[in-house]
Amino acid sequence: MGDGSLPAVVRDCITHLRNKNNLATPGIFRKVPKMTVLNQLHATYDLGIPVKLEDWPDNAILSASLLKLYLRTLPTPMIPSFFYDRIRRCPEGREQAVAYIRDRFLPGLANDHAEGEAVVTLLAELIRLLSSIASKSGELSNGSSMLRVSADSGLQSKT
Amino acid sequence: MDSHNLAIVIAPVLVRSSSVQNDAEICRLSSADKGGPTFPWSKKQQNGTSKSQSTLGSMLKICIENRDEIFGDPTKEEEGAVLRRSQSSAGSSNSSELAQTPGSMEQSSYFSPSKRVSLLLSVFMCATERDDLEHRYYQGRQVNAETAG
Repeated sequence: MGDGSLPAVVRDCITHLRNKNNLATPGIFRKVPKMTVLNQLHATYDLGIPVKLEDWPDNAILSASLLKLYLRTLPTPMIPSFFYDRIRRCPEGREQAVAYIRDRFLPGLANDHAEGEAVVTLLAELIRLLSSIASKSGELSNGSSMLRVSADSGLQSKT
Repeated sequence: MDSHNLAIVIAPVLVRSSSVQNDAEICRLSSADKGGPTFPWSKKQQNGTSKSQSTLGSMLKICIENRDEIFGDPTKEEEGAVLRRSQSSAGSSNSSELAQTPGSMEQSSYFSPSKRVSLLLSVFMCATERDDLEHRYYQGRQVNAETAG
């Protein structure tokens, strides 16, 4: 990660989640896979054994959970407690908040976190993935709304 | 999942301190942030504090919704460039990249060496079990095909 690359487990999970229709999986980061399978996968990565995520059942949810497990078990959390005050200082209003995060919070995170730039790189990739999931979800909900609207317009009751 | 729900599920994964209450507070994201209904008790709680404070949940939501402005435009910077760089470096290195990279990010191995051996065994057992199941499945299919034929 020091050279700007991502750890194997993060790289595999993000690549797999971006494949095919995995981004559109409902409740992808909310659903929980079998913990025994998840722990076995974690141990496999820990041992350096190559893993093909697509071979496992419910692999989209498994990948999302594996990514969460990796982030949760980092020796130093991505956002340590001494950053909480900086988070609380984030101004209200979209433009001010965006400027604060981009110009002050992220450079501060890169400077003061034990992992330096690596943590911002990881956060950026994570946010890009989440953003893709959110936009996919938006497309789907717009589609279902359109379907509902067109279905309503097609209804003609005789009563 | 929309940005609001994603922020709710991801925020707790990114924080960990000695106080669970502090962690919960910093991750909070109310339904009012989504434009949803506000309940009397939550309104009372908000009035109790002098000023509504930003949380990691709300910051994550802003990041997800304004990704290009905060982390750069993917059309200019090529979306997932780091990911591809990682993939190319993975091609040149062996699979244990996780153990090679410096810093504590890679030290998330929380298994002792003795437990590793038992886990390795369980992984192989699981793989064997799966192979056995697959074998049975294909055997079953063959029998079905024969009976149908």
